[in-house]
Amino acid sequence: MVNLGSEVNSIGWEIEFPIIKKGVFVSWNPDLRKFHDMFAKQFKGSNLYEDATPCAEYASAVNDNYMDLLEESREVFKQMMEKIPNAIFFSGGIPRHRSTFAGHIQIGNKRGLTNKRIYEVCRTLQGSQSFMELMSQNFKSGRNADERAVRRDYFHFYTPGKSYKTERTYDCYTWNEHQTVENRIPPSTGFYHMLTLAVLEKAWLALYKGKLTMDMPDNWKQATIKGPNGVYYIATPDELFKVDYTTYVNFFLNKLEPFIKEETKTLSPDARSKVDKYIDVLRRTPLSNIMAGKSIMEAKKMAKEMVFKGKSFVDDVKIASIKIPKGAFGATNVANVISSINKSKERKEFQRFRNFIMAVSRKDASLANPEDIEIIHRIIAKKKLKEVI
Amino acid sequence: MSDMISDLPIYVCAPHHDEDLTQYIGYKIAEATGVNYANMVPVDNPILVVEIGGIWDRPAKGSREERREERSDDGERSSPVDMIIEDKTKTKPFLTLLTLFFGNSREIKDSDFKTEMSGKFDSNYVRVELSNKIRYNAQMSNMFIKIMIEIINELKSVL
Repeated sequence: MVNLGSEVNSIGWEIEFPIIKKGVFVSWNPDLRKFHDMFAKQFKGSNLYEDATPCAEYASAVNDNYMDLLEESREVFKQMMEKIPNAIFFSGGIPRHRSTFAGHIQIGNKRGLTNKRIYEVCRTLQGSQSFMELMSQNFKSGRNADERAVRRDYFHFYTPGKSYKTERTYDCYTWNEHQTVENRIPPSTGFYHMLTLAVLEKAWLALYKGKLTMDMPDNWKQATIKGPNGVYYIATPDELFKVDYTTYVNFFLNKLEPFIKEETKTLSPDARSKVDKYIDVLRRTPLSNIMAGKSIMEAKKMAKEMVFKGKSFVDDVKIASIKIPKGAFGATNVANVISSINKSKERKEFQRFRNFIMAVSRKDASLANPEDIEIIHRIIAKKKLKEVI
Repeated sequence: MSDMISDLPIYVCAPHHDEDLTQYIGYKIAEATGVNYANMVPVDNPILVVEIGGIWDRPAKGSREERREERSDDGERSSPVDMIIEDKTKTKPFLTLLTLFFGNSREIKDSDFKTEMSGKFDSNYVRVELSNKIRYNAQMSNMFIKIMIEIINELKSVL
């Protein structure tokens, strides 16, 4: 069995970024043209161009380590954002504009993978599609958890076939012109989010070592339509479990944990802590729940802080921890409750009602409260009349 | 998501959207105790979730339970118990005190129906399913609300 974890040792990504300037969406800015040649020289193999999406797109060089890729991305976008200030940002989407911000992670090696290897990588990643979709979700609009999956011909559930495809497709995993495997499930273009997903993808490969892994179309459907509210199946050799988002996601994150630790060894302490924070957040909720409340101005600010200050989108997210109770609820507390209820007017009214019902059903006026005895007599008398008649 | 936000991660939930009266009961409890009220599953880390349901004595249409239902002489539906309680807390104060004051109630059995929330929480969770008698009768619902308020307030005092 091929250890794809070691053979797949390069990483790059594409970042699609529509430009919104003074509320107007544009897919290209002429000022970006001069950057194309500059970046191509500085980062060999990179490409800045106008994509058909429509949006501007920066395809990074194929790097052999995460930190080089991070630094390249920050450098490139620093220069672009200085030239076109406040115009480029990285949230998952924006209302009233067709195009969304999206990234595509590519993994491979610098020589390029053979078609056969690409296929093997895709087969190994097959089982990660629903999980990766949930990890990537950053934008919610409309009724579905991932509107992009249902309204655009963007990416489809990948099903491994007997013969491997060589044509590029709209599957979740496909090949790229650099002969790498491209993950087309679009996350936000937040660098640290994409870094986290790249780490997860590589960790998956290292865990499953070239084996075919299986995912279910049902899980995929739940993930794209319901997202964190979906119900997911986890298959074990002899049982099928129906679980929620948190259980499903943590099931895989826990399996990947040792491989994630291995992958993040090459990261700087700061980058590693950001990846850890992302995983902590995504264990509990998709990024879309965090980004959903952000306004355009907030998204712009977050993008600037990411590029210029190295701040991730989830740095400020606080994860509440359970407060450990100071004391225990014991017999004294139970006694306090009983005493309080016994003295209450609700108890008196409840008791009166209960006594009333009992007196009527047992035809015994002495069971009722004194104030109700007269009416009980009348009810009992009427009942007796009914019986006689 | 939550209608009321408080600092303490205790939630009273009445998630069934067609159960207005049950939701009202849940809301009154939350309002009086100052805890959170939600009409769906809380996604943050709650220290206690109290789910209130109101469909205990209304079996599914066409079910065996519906056909076997007892009816009194007046044609009134009679349910064998007024409420069922599922108390997954350590000391089970809700089960203890509700069965004390509502003698005609019992702990949930494995054969009783499950809700989405009851499957989600292994601990720090309470579910109370109320019969129509409790929901529609002012004295009974007020008594239920009072007991729940006292327990939750007493719980808050130990946190």
